[in-house]
Amino acid sequence: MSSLFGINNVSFPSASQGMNSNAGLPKGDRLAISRLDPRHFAGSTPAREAAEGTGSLSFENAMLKALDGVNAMQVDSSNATELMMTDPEAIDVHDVTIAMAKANMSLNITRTVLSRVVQAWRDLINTR
Amino acid sequence: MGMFTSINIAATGMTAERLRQDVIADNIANQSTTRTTEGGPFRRSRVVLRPRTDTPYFRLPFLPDQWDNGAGEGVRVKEIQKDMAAELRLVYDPTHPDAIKTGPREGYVEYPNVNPVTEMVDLIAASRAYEANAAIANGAKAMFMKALEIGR
Repeated sequence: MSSLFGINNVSFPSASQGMNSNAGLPKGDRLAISRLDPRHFAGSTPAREAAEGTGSLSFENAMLKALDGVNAMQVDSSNATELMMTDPEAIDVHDVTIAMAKANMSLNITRTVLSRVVQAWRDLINTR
Repeated sequence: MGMFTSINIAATGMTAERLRQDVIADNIANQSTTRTTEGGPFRRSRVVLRPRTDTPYFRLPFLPDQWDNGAGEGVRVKEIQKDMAAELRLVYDPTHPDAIKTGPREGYVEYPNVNPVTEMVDLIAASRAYEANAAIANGAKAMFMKALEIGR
């Protein structure tokens, strides 16, 4: 279908360089015509897992990594609040409230995941 | 496509509208200033905005992924520009220390080209745009909370 638009054999240096690093995409002077997110395709290849960096991550490591991110949000929020109190000229009000909202949202998703895990554990030990 | 993309974009818009408000406040405060360091009366300033994404937008039916700008990254202030085009306001006041001494406009004082009506309309526009960005942030948070309720 791409030959209809005559872009099949055109060489784009920047595009082909960028594409060589992506294992799943066509190489050389052929342009990738897909605008879909690779995560939408079924199944997972080792190359894709390596690219996303989630291949060999255990649940424990993923959870700890996510908790680090949540903690960073909390630290950002408290830094913004502190700056608001000590030096109100240096920061906008909406930056503070947005940092607080982000911290709240990330903590909420953590709480949801943890309560699901605990729920799964309860379901398991109540199996009879 | 992260969790906070729309909130981050809304934050850029809110920061830009805050700056517009600051510039309008400066214009209003200086609407009678006849003397500046660079000489002449005060000239009104205006904010020039541009998108945060630097790569151009290609209107092709099919694009390689790395050329696809996606949803964009919000707004950025390009510059605060002085409005040299609008006419200065002339008021006849020969006793004013900044009155023009010679020439056909002798005795007139040049006042800034700040029009309070324009500035107030701009102020309303800026505060409404700020509200719209805040609504985006709230909507994004409401969507996120709805997503967390799935399967509860």
